Amino acid sequence: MFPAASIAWRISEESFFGDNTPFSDLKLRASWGKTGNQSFDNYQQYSTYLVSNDQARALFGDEYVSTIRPSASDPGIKWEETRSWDVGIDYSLLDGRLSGAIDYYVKDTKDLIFTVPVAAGTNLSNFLTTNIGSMKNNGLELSLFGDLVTSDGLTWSASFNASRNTNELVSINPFAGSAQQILVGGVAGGVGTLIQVLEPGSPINSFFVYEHKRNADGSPVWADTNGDGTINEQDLYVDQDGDGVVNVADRRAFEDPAPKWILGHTSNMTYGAFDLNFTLRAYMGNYVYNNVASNLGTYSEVTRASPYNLHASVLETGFETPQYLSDYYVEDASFLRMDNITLGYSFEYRGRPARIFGTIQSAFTLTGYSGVDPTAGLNGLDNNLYPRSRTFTGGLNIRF
Amino acid sequence: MKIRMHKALVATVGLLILAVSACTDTVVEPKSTITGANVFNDAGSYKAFIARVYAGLAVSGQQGAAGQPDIQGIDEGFSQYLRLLWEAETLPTDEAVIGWGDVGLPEMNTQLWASSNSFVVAMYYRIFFQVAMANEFLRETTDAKLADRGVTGALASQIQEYRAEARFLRAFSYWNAIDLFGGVPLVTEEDELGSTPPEQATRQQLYDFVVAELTEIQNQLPDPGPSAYGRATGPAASMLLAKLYMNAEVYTGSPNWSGALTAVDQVINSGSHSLASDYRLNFMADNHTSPELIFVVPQDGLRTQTWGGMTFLVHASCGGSMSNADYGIDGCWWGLRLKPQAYGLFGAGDGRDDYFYTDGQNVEVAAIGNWNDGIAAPKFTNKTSTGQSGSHATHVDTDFPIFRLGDAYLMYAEAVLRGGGGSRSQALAYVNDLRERAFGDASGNITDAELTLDFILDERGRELLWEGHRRTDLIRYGLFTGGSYIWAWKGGVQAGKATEDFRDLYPLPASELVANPNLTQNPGY
Repeated sequence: MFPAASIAWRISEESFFGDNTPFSDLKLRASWGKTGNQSFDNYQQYSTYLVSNDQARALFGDEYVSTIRPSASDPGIKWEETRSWDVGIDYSLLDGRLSGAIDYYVKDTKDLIFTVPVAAGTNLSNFLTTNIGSMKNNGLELSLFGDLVTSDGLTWSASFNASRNTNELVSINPFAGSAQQILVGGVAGGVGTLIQVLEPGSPINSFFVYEHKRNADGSPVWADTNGDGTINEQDLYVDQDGDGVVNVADRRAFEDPAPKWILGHTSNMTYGAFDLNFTLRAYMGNYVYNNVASNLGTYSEVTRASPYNLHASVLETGFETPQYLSDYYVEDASFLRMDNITLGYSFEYRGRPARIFGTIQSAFTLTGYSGVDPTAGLNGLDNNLYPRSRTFTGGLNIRF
Repeated sequence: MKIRMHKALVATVGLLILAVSACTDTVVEPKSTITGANVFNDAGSYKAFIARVYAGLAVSGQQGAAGQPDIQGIDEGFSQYLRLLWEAETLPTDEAVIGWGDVGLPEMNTQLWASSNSFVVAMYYRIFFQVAMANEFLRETTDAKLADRGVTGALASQIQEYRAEARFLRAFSYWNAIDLFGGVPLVTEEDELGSTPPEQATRQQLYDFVVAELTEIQNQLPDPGPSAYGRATGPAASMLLAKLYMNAEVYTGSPNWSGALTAVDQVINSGSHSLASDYRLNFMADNHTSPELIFVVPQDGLRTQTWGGMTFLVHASCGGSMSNADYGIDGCWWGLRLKPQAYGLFGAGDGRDDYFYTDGQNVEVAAIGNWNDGIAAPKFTNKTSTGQSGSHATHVDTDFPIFRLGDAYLMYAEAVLRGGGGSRSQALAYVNDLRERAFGDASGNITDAELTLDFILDERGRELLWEGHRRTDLIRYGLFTGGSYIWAWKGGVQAGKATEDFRDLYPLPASELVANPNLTQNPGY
């Protein structure tokens, strides 16, 4: 059962709410609900059998046989459930010239469904879709819409929104591997290299990396610091637990791909026959793993049978072998982007209304991220060699 | 505060129960999808499933050559069982180098792998994928389930044979685990599917399990013959038992040379296999016609395609000025060459090195990445014994000999020399059978005085080069790690240097130690 309930109180209609307030409307609301998540394939609780194609048959004695393979399955899989609370205020000021809403929410998700590696021998493959634990989100959403200027010659209406979300994995179900860390986030280069972690107390999909020792100028160390004749992780990374060896126990959750704040702004202006509108978007506090740099930013690339172009980061790092697990590649990818901007001019042509306009999509992005696009990757993993295109469009509209 | 109910106060309570029954209960029997509940309505499914357990050694997934991988998070071509096993058994020894720079691969040439090494990790998951398939087959074919489905008669007895085969394949993979990793979890059909991590078994417990299984199923397996080609037979089980006994001292601390001798004697005297008259026939596109092969991983250019397996082995052995057409393939991958020590084993008159390719190749391997450093050894080819090319120029027809009679002959001789009983003159006769085939006449035959353990190791290096036995052999002789035998690039330098003895075992995957907290890492890692 997925019930929901909500309640709202329109304070502005109460008799005690006098006419001498700036509010033309004020509403307080609260809601509670429970929802499921269906974003996974059907029949996860059953092992389903996949028939091989003709090129993957097996010789069985004197005949070739098409084979069947059962899939990994969790017979005990349950619905993922989210219980959410939301309290909010809707407001309208100055006869509706300014309006907006403020919301605060808490979402508790239990029996979170994820596809994760499972201990070898427990199931029919090394990855399984299962309930892994519970997660908590809370956040704030603000929005404001205003007709800021409404004079005869100039009009300007604008909307602003801001949201902040905090995410934390609360627990990992002991059924799911007993491990208190589950590695996820496969990256290119290397075989089965996983760069993200699910662990209680950290945001979901936090990057799971070594802390790379830094030189005085901030560049990552590439030197035989322990003098054993080779350069390996013992030389490069911080021994977090101080046991004298750098190993898997010294990787730690470090930043995460989700933005802490998302800001948006849209403006629509007219001035005489001209109109201008644009949309700005900003993410703050989102991190990206630069997989292009980690995969190709190494001199060993040139010794491969068919080398790729080196990534320029190698000029700073000097890495001779790939260092996939270095925190050097986890970058702050906060950005401000002009998603689109349109300028138009309206006129009459032989008595017909007409408008000439020009639009730029992805006009610019301001970011400190070194890869081609701070939003290029999925879940904060940037392995995209193809930059987002900037589109210029010009047009003429004539109405007949 | 008093709240009056009027139009300012709006409350809604929604109770949404979706019309789909799946909403309250995730368990809905699928009608159109093949599941364990309906797949065995088709009697052919039993054969299709046991064939799949065999295919685990031959392909990497349900779409040839790639596309529906068996294991995730790993490049599918790299993840193929035979390819991983061959690399793990060959690259760190005196037999071969691979020149590619894929992450983790260079360390396989030098014994310097870490616990996150991709190829080590993939081997581990491959072994457990095989074990899981075999276990699931056994769970789906219990007497109770067969009775439920009304399976009787010829099909029921056929399924009993399949069950023995599944247990053989599971034993084979556990043998690989014992040999490569030591103590790993022992998971059987008794363990429920789920996600509870299993306990770690000791190497001894795994050994005992595998020996007991093989002893029990030995006589339930199909007899050798055309209808059992590519399948596990009685002699194949004896051969696997002999492998365990031969290495019992390494695996358990106590040797069992007489067990080894008895088991290998059963193989030889089963009468079902004989030496191929031409040594080379065992490694060609029509090697299924060789009477010598006891257990193979079958490959087929059109019907059993993979980017691992023999496709890898034939292509990677070719490069430089070699003509790919001479090997029946459409291109060379410029990967595998001999380390100088393996090349140095072969003397004049020995026909077993006739296929070596030396034009433009240096004996010494100054740079592993340079194809011309190291003699090329295209032992496996996609040409048939009559000079025809295989059915497909990318994916080859050549089967991989896991076990063959030539190996059994040398195992017999070694077991005799180590005190396992048997006959010393018979041992000498077996060795000279192989020598005569290699030299074409008796000119290469050895005398009784020359029949020593050191000779056997060298002879294994010649007879079984690149057949995936070398690491196990060197460990049995105590030469794989340490400083008593140094070869090129052992320990990461061209001259070679001593390595630490903990490298006789591969590390358990670092990621697996996170996923399964019951595991203890092998010492040294």
